[in-house]
Amino acid sequence: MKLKPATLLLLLLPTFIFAQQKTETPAGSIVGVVKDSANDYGLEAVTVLLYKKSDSSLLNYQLTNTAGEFNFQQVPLNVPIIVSLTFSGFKSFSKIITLDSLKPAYNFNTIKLNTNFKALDEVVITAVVPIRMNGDTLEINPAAFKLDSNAVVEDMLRKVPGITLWGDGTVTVNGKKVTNVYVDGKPFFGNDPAIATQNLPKNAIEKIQVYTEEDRTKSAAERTAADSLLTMNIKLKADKKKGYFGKGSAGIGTDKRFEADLGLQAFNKKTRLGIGGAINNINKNVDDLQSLLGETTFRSFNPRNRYVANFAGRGVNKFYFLGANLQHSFIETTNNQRSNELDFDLTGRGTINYVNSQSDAITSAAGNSFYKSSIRNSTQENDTKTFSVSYNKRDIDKDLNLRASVNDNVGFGNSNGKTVTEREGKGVVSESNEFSESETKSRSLSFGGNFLNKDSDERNLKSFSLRFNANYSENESIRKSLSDLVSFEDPGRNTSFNRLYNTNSSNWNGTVNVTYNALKRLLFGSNNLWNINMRLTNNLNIGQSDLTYNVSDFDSVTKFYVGNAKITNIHQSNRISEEPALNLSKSFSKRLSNRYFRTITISTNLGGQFLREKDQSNFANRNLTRDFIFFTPNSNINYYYQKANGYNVNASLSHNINYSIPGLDQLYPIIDSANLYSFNYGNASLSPSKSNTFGINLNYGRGGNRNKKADINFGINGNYVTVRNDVADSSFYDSLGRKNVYLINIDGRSNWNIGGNFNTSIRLKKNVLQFTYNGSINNSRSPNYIDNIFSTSRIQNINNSLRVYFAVGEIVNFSVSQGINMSNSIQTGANLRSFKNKNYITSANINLQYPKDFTLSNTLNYVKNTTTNQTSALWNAFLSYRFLKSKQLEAKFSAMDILRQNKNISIGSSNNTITTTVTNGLQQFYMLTVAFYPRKFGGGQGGGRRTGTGTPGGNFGGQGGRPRF
Amino acid sequence: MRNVFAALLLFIAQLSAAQPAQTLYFDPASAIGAPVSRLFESVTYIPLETTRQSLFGQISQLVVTTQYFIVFDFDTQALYFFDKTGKFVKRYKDDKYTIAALQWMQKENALYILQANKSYRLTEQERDELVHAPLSKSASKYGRAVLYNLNNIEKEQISEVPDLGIFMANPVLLSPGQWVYSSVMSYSDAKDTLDYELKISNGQKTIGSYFPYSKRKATYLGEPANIEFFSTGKPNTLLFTRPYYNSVYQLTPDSVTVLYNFVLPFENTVPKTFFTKEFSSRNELREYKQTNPGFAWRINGLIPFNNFLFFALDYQKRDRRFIFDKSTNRFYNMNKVSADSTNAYLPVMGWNIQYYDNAALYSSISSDAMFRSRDAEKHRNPVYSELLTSYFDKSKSTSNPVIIILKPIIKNK
Repeated sequence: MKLKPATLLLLLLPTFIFAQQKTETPAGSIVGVVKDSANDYGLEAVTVLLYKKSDSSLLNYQLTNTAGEFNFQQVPLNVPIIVSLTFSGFKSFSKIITLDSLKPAYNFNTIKLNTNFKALDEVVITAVVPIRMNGDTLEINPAAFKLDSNAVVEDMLRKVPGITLWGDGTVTVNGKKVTNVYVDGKPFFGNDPAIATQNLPKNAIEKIQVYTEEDRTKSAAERTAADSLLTMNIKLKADKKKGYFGKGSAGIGTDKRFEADLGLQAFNKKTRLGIGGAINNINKNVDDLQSLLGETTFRSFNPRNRYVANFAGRGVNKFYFLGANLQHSFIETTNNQRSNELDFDLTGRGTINYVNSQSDAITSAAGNSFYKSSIRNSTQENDTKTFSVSYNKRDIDKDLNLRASVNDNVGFGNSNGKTVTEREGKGVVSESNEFSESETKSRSLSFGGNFLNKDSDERNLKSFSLRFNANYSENESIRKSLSDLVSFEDPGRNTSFNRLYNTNSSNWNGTVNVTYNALKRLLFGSNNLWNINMRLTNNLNIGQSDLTYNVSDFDSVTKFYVGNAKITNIHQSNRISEEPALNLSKSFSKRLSNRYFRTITISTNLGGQFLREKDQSNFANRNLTRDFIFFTPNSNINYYYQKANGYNVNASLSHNINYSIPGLDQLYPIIDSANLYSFNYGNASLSPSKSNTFGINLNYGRGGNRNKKADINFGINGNYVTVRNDVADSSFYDSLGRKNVYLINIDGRSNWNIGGNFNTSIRLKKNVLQFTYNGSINNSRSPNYIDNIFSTSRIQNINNSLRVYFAVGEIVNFSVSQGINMSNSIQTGANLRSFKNKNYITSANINLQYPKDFTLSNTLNYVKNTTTNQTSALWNAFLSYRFLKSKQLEAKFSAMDILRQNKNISIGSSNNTITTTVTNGLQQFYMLTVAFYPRKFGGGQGGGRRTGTGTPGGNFGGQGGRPRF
Repeated sequence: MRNVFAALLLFIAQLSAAQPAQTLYFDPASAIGAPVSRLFESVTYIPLETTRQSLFGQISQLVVTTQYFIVFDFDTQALYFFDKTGKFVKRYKDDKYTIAALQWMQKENALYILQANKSYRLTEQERDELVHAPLSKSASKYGRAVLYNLNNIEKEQISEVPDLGIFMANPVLLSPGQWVYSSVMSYSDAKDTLDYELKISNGQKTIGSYFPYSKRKATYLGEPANIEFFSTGKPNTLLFTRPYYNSVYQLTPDSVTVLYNFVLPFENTVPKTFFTKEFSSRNELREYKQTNPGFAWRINGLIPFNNFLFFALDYQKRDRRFIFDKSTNRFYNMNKVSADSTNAYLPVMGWNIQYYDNAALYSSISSDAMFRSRDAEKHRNPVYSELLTSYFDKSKSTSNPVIIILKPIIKNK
């Protein structure tokens, strides 16, 4: 069965139309002005509530504006409604009205509220007020929201007018983005707000406060009204400051598929503990503990379908992950200015990866083209354990961070493969078989830290930053490799190897980076020096590596492995790199308040590198000491323009020069003939190569504009690199398709790329429409020699994709995207072939949350490659249902690869070779997963007062204050 | 030491000789609002002309003389002179200096300008020390005090103020030949233990001082602060308020009198323990302030205007500006003073009252806010003055700011 993208769109359309109709309802309006009865002025921030009389459910509410006005639209007709007004210090007011089609608009004109002096003391509020202004803080009262008893904070936020939850997880309040989400004034298990909003039950919350904080990253002089940060603080009830929550799930499917996940968090006032674990054989990978905890929240709706079986992965993985994190704060409050905490982290992860692949490669050489087709099976096992501890202490002008970690890794692997090579016009010329088995062990230890002292004040003589890092690692590996090559043309060229490689290595390196910010101050005192800023940086890097490489060959006569003196070697390398730099910068700024702000900053780093590399080996020619001095300046120009209430533009140009020196294995390589198809002979007279990089970057953003419905942002970035003395290949192919490489220095390598994206988000009442475009072009020119023919390989990659996302309220959302990826590889040399490749990728996504407790998701991916004429289609569907009154039990049914047309195809190209690889992956399966959500909030005492920030200020009209400089 | 006692005695004698101070019990939360016409006889909007020459950012400092609105704009670092109808007259810019303070010297019809040399950038500490000890030799390097003759502004007649060695402390003229200034700070390694919050100087020498404090021990003064002075419109008389005290004082060349003692609710009052607490660093002091956003650190923004006393509370709350109506003993919250038809529903005032004289209070607002307000209030059919009608017709939201002149209603007590 073949499905076209258009057919899919048609399938999705009815749901879309159904959702659209739901939003249209006949409606009336209620307006009025609230005034103080005694003093006759408009009362601001009076809470006006509309209840349905029949079941006293809340329909809508507003806070009056500065003139005391309120204005409700979309009020249902023919329903008796209680209009209730409450305001601290005033007597309440309420009235029952019914709107109908004859009189759909009701105007209260002026409602006068009387002061209630009694209430001033006791704050008697008859109705539960859902939302009110308390001074500068907007307070949301969860008790006023009639929601399911299992609702979490996020469910409630959706009901608050003015608060929008966006598809990417962003929360906005009246169009302004919430920057921080805190629980009792502190971040909750890291920076992902979902862990707080999707887990904490509405019933554990005393109130939610929304207030603005000043952006402390900017100095008082730079701060503008636009820089204030919107913070949402979730205040837990006094008896809910201790608790635990999480998710445990297990699933079993056809085709022996399984999955199990666990995420558990516990917290009290100062300490937080998070534990997570996952095991599966459906290529579902976990990056770290934090992301696993973000995927195991109580909320069931997962519109992005992020944490599901990955059909695009190479092979099939058996995977496990275990992680624990303990965080303890020594001080009770943490704001962005002060912290004092200790953090322990323990993770273990392991994978067993089974890959079967079939690849076909075309290599173009002078007069000859080779077709290689190979089949490979491999198993790779990896197991890593990491323990780390970090300590952070931050004060107003000091910042200390210390961290240490140990890492242990064990790996086993084996692979076998068979390759058949055909030469154009000749047929099969060789066949090879390879088998290898390996075992690796590595351990590493690292210790590092930062200390920043008065870092942002370049006028203070003690302003500096220090960063240091030290690493030590040990590696041990044993590899056994069997390889045979049979030539059908010349049996004399047949080879057969059975080799054992035993490698032991150790590495250590230390880095110290110091930046001194007050150089101008030190040299020129309080002189402003035309506003040019001067900094001094120094980067010192010292390292040593030791390698023992033992190679032995199996002697079929004695049945013993005998040492191979041609390859066995020891190598010690010492490297010292010292990079001092003087940084000069100057800014040209112009501000016209309420109009625009623009600044241009020119900065240059006059830096150099002193590099010594010393190599010692048992091979005489590999004993070398090399010294280099490089001048490595870099410069950039930055432009920023912000139009008040409008858009902002950010552009930059940069240039830098870098050198890279040839490695010992490029100068004096040790050739191992057991590598069947490629031999590197190096070149002892290679020089360092120098690259010049030019960069350009442009970003435009428009958001929260009061006159515009749509937010727009786009960005373009580009790079141009030229390389002198590039280390390139001069390769020769023998008649068996084997490549012999000699390295040469060559000028003329260059690369340019340009990429861009365009995003727009349009608000349509409660619905959201978003468009996203991404595109990139990458072009490279690499001169090289193939069989003595000079050729320039030009490789061009073009990628384009467009995505449309539409969300109708909370019930349904869907997205469609189309992408085209093209790559061209052109060889200028005579008789060399050029390649072209084109991929079309279409995907669609639909999520439906209806009826109650049901969620249905569908994802579809369709890939078509026009070069190989291969297609692949993947359709996955998920259906889940929540059980129990507490909704703590969930059953989920997943149908994966319903069409049975999924294939993993990858196409890679290098100078003169293009390879198409098809690997095994997951195949159709059905899975049933059951999840349980343990959760308890409560126990313990607590008061906790909200700590505000910001310095007192705001004097006016006075004289004789401190002068402004 | 003898001087100290003498000063203390003098101080006590002067305080006791004065009439009893009025105690005002003031709860910021219950200050009421009012339509603008109940408090102000008129609100006039004077758009400042926008030309290529006169385009500026915002009014950082404002001085209103009989002839001109004189605007200092920090964005463009220039002074702009507009006549009383808002027509642009002149722009003055000195590339070497930025402006730190402005005063109108009515007698000389000159503009006193405290200029800071742009070639130097001082650290916070250096600046504090310079302000605290303004007679230091290097002061002349970092700035100067000049008079700009306003009789003929085109001539740019600028002369340094003679015999004013203390200009760095930003002194305020009290009476002819007498300047007052204030810089209050403590540091643990101070040489002298005693200093005064308020000093009267003849320009070079201190001739009187009030409010002694321990320079070493008063750690709550670790963050430099100062007394703020406010003109009264009466000759040789200023009002002032002290940091951390809720009293309003009156200063004449030979007396200090307490006029009002504000008593605030418990949650807004700085506790007594604050004055005895040992703060180990300026940072600790700043943090204490941040964790107590409700405490009012001082009263400021005083404008005595007939029966009204305009004032502000220095704390981290939205409603900071208030009006005390002496004739009715009522407190108004400036944020709750709402626009009405008499001011065509336009903004009553901008961020601050930026200048006042015997006739009116002056504030300013951006054209962006004016145009936004016009668009939002269209449905009320406001009636604009001729000046405003042509302003809305001919200007844009990016035009120069608009001056707001507020004339309070005068009631006889």
